[in-house]
Amino acid sequence: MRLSRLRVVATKEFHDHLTSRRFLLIAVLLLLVVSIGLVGGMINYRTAVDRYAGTIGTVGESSADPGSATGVSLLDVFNSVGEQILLIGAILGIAMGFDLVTREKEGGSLKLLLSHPIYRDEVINGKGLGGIGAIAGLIFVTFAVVLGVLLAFGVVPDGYEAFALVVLGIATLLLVVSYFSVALFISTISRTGGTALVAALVVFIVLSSLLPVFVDPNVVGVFMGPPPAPPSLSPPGLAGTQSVGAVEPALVPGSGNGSDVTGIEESQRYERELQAYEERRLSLEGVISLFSPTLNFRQVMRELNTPVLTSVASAGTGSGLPDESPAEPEAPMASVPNVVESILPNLIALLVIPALFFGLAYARFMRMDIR
Amino acid sequence: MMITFERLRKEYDGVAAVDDLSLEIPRGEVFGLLGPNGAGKTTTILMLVGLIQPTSGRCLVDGIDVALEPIAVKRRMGFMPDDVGFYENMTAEQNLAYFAAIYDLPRAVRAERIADVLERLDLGGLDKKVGGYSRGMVQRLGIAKILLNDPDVLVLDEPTANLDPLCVAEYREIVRSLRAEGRTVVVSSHILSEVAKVCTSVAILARGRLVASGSVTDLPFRLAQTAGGMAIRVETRSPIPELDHPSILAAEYDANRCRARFQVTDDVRDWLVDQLRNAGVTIRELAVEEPSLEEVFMRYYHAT
Repeated sequence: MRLSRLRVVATKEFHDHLTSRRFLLIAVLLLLVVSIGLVGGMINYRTAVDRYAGTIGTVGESSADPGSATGVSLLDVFNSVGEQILLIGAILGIAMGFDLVTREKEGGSLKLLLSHPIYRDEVINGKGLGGIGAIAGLIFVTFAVVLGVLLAFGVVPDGYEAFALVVLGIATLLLVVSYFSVALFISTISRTGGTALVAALVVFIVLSSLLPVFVDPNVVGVFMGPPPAPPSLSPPGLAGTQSVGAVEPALVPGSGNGSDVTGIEESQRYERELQAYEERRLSLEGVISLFSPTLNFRQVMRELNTPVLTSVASAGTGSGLPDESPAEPEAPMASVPNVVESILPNLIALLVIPALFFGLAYARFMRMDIR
Repeated sequence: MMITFERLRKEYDGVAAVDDLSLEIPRGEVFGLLGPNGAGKTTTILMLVGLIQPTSGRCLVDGIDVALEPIAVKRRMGFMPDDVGFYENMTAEQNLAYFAAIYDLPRAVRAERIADVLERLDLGGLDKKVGGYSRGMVQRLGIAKILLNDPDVLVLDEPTANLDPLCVAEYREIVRSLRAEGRTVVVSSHILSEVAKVCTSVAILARGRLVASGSVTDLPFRLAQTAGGMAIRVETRSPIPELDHPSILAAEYDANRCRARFQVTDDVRDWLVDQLRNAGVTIRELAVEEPSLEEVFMRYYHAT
């Protein structure tokens, strides 16, 4: 493979994407949705902060970090546009990739191109790189707009928020690239652009709508079988009703006779079995989730927001005022290593999915008979 | 030899599209691959330009194996497919610039070549995107494209398909000039008259197999002998006597027997002259009725 020829193809593809109406339309849509969502989110954010500042003024306290103290975070604002980014990003990836090969096959330019002194891997890699470059450019512009809106509202992200913003940008890039590579692969196996589009949309629906169904606890339960049954106990030993998923001890020690001891042992065994069942269910959910770019992206967003959500929960949501005493230790805002650890499998999956589909597209393209 | 096919075979799902094709094309020839649709012409050409891999056998271009050194071969070759298509969102110049960039040529040389070929094909100064071109203009651009790298070998697959008569005349002129420049040109076509007008040699393919090859002038006569015979027309001053020869299949006479047409399987002109002279008949004219390439092809194709 020669870099000069790879660059020629990649540059042309990059230029084609940037000048295509399809790309421009979706890009404008993405920027509009993100900007509008962000402005709306920022207005809510400012309102919450102002309300908190007014309350503090009444109480006579101040905070160096009103955002965190109110339990309102910039990440909530990002979260509000996350679903739109998810949907438009997936559509963008599919729109960019589904006819990259079929269009050239149908138009006759692929035959012409490959009759030149160029290797096929230079063509398919160039197509991939050009597409990824265009996606990266758009994501960069989008997040620059996000930053611009934040600064326009006079909000400077703190360290964790800046970190979250960068991770979100990377996850968005990987999400779009994932769907782009899926669509590119479909383009290599389809005869026409129309077929490729339908196939890509079916895959998109499977990955974004059907796969999440399998992550639902009830559906996962169907595959795993019923949870362990609670022990049947005599009424005097029963402290409360048992419910599936409850891991608190359900029994209180009785008078110390033999049947109570047996009951406690059975209860403990049940707890262990239930806990093991839950762990299996969660790991199965996690494994299924890894196959979907959509679920991985959602998981990354959730994990990035989790510390903040904890803070909101601890701060109370009714009035925006903390309902705990100031002496009560606040929930930890964010531990970057912990967040990285929790999102790492999803980020790796978001790297592996495009690599896998691009590998399939590559293999198919290399063996394709150009007739 | 400039191009050699050695026992070339290509199968699709166990069915041979090209079967045991061996052929040699000398340097400087305008060579026609002739055959009806499905004869294996395009498959043969696609193997020659390295777009599909042969199931067995090989193609050589100036001694270089296409499958082993595709880049080296493609550097010396220009190919225009039957359904030639360009990037419709780009102008002719942008399209050519893209393809030219693939060759390792300095930028200035590329720009000069592009300007030259566009001028030669009368496409210079067009700012219109290729999407707005007529079929003939696209075809002309296809020929401009194959001249970019100044190739030794040009391969044209059904080059006159969908062209109007004016464009066809232009195309013929271009092919003649390419031949005059000493380039080897391979043309595939199912339009026999086209092949007869531009080619110096021809090979006939049927059902993936080579059925005949030779020069455009010799082949019809040679094929006529095996595909239903040829005719000898005679005109004399006095009536022609009854003539009998194993090679004469049939004879037709006019009313006064001074004109005859003999359907023969072999060249019996010398025997005819001797017989008529011995009978004291003066010959005014004796000629072979040479069938057209098309006539021969159709007869030969149906006979095989």
